Amino acid sequence: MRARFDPLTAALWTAAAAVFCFIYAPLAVVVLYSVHDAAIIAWPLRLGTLRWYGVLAHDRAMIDAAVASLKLAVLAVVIALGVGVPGAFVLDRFDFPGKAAFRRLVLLPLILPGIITGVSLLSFFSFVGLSLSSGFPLIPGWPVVLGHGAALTSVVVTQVFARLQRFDRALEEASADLYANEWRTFWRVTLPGIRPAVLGAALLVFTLSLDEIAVTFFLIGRQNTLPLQIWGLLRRGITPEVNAVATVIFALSLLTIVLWSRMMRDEI
Amino acid sequence: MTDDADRSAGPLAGHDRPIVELRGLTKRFGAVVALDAISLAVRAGEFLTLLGASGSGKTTTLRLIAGFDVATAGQILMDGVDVAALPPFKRPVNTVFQQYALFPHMSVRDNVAYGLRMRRVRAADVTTRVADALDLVQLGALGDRAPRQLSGGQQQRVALARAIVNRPRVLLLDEPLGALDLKLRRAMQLELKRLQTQLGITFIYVTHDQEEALTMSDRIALMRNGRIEQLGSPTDLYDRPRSRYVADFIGETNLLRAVVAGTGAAPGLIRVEVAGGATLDVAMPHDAAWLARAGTETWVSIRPEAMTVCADGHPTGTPTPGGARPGGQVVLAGTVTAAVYAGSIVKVHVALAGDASVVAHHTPATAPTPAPGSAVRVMASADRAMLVGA
Ligand SMILES: Nc1ncnc2c1ncn2[C@@H]1O[C@H](COP(=O)(O)OP(=O)(O)O)[C@@H](O)[C@H]1O
Ligand SMILES: [Mg+2]
Repeated sequence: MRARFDPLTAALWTAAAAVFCFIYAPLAVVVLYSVHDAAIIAWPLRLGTLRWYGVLAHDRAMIDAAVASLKLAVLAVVIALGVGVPGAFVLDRFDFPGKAAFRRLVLLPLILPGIITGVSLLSFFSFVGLSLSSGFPLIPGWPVVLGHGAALTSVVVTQVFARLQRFDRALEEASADLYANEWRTFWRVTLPGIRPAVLGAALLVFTLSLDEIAVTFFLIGRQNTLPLQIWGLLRRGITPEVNAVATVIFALSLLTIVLWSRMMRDEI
Repeated sequence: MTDDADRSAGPLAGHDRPIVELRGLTKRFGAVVALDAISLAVRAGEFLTLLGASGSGKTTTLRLIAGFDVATAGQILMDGVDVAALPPFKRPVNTVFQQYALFPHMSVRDNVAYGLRMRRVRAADVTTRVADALDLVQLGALGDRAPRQLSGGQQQRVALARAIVNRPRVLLLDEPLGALDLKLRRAMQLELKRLQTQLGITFIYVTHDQEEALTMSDRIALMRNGRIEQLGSPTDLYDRPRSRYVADFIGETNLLRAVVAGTGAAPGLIRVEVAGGATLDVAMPHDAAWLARAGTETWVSIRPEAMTVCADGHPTGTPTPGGARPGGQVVLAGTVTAAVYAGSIVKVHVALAGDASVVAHHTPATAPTPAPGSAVRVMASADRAMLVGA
C-alpha cells in the first residue's frame, strides 16, 4: 500500500509510536519488575521469579482489601443500575418540570472533584447517623457502598438515556401490535435493544468503583479497599509486591476488555 | 368543504355491519388538527386505501385504529364494538409498519413467530404456521437470517409475514412499498393484491402514490388536511372527481376556470363560461346544488386522453367554435405551442383564449400531429368534461 515515502504519514506513525510508548512503557516496567528477583527495585533487572506473587497470595490484608473492593464494586453496580436504568426511562419517556435542568445536573457527581463529593457524603451520613462501619464485615460499610452507588448512578443514566433516545419506538409498537403487553414488550424488545448500553454502563461503574480513591477515602470504615491498601503500602516505598498486585490487576483488566469487545461484537 | 362529501360511501348494503367504522374521529396534536372528524365505514374483505399528500392524516388514522394513539374525539368501532378502551395488544388488527420495525435481535423466523408466541399458540403450530407464512411470501429459505442481512424488499416481506401469520381480520399497512424501487414496487403491488384476495383479509392501506392506489384498491378515501375529500372506487375518483383537488391529485387533468351560467342544452348538462369567453355545456358528476347555482365560480376538468385535437377547418361535424352543440361535444379553439413525443402518444400543448392552456393526448397513428403554431380545435365529449368543486 504505502509504496511512496510520505513525510506526513511517517511523522504520524512516529507520533503514534511515541504516544504508545508513553502510555505503555510504565506498564511494561511494572510487569517486568514484578518478576524481578531482588527485594530492591533497581537496575539491572534480574528476571525470572514468581516469589512476589507468592508473597501477595499470603498477604491477608491485601486479599481482604481485594475482596472488599470487589464487593463494593458489585454493590455499586447493583445500586447504580437499579436507580439509573429506571431514571433513564423516566427522562426519556416523561415530561416533568425541571427535566432540562436535571438532565444537565445528572453528571455533576462525576464532574465534581472527589474531595467535594467525599466531604459532602461524609457530612450527610454523619447527619443521618449512619456509622461508616455499618454493615461490616458482610460489606465494607453502608456509607461507602451508598456513596459509590450515588456517585456512579449518573454514569448509568447518561449511557442508557443516550441509547433510549436512539431506540426506535416503532419496535415497541410492533410488539404491542403483536399481542405483547407492556411488561413482555419491555423484556423482549426494549431491554434487548438497550442491553449494550446497560452492560457498558455496568462495566464502567464496576471499574470506576474499583479504582476510586477520593470518595472512598472519606467514607471507608474499618476495612481498606484495594487502592487504599496499595496506597498504604507505597508509603514504605515501591515494593516488588506492589508491582505484582499491579500486574494482576492489569491482566484482569486486559481480560475484561477482551471479553467485553467479544460481547459487543455479537450485540451490535 | 364538500358538504355532501361522504355520501358516496353509500349506505352499507343491507345488514352488513362494517368491520371497522370511524365516527367523527378527531386527533389534535396541540394546535395541529391532524384528523378533523372523519367518518368512514370499512367493509369486510375490501381493499381500502387512504390516499393523500404528506401530512394529510393517513398515518394518524392508522395509528388510532391500531391503538398507538388516543383520539381527541370520535369513535372507532370494530364489529360494532367501541375499542377505545382496548390497548393495541388486545385489538384484532395487525400492522405492517412504514419502516418495517423488524426486531433486529431476532431471526426472521422468530420475528414471524412473535405474535403467535405472545398469544401462547402451541409450539408445534407455531412452527408450521411460521413456515407457511414464510412460504407465502417466498422467504422459506431465509428463516435463520437476521433482518439486517436482508434486502429492503425481503424485509418488507418479513414484515408482511409477521403480520399475516396471525390471520388478522384487518391488516393496516402504512406505505409498505414506499422504500422500494419502482420495479420492485410494481411487482409487490400485484403480489399484495393477490395475497389480500387469497386470504380474504380486509386491508386498510396507506399510500401517497395515486397510481398505486388506483391499481390496488376496491375503494379509495382521498384525504386532505385531516378530512376525507372523496371516498369511492378508483373509477369514481378518476371519472367523477368531486373537486378540483381530487381531479388534480388523481391522474393528469386539464383544469379550466369556469363560471356557472345556467342549465345546458341537454338534460344533465350545465352551461358554463370558461376563461376567454367560450360557453360550454359540461357534465356534472355529483349533484351538488350549490355547484349548479348560476354565478358559482368553479372549475371544469377534462382528462388529456378525453380530448382530440384537429386542425382548424378540418370537418369533424359542424361544431360551433368555442361552444357546445346538442350532440354533447365540447369544443375549444386554440394554437399549438408544443408537441411532446411520449412513446405511444404525443402530448399536444394548446394555448386557449384568456391565458388558459390544455394538454391533449394525440395518437399519431390516427391523424398527423399538428405542428406548433398551427390553429386547432380541441374537442371532448361533454360527459367527459366535468364541472368540479373549487
Ligand atoms: N406526534 C405528533 N406530534 C405533532 N404533530 C403530529 C404528530 N403526528 C402527526 N402530526 C401532524 O399531524 C398531521 C398529519 O400527520 P400524518 O398522519 O403523519 O400524515 P401522513 O401520514 O398523511 O403524511 C401533520 O400535520 C403532522 O405534522
Ligand atoms: Mg405517514
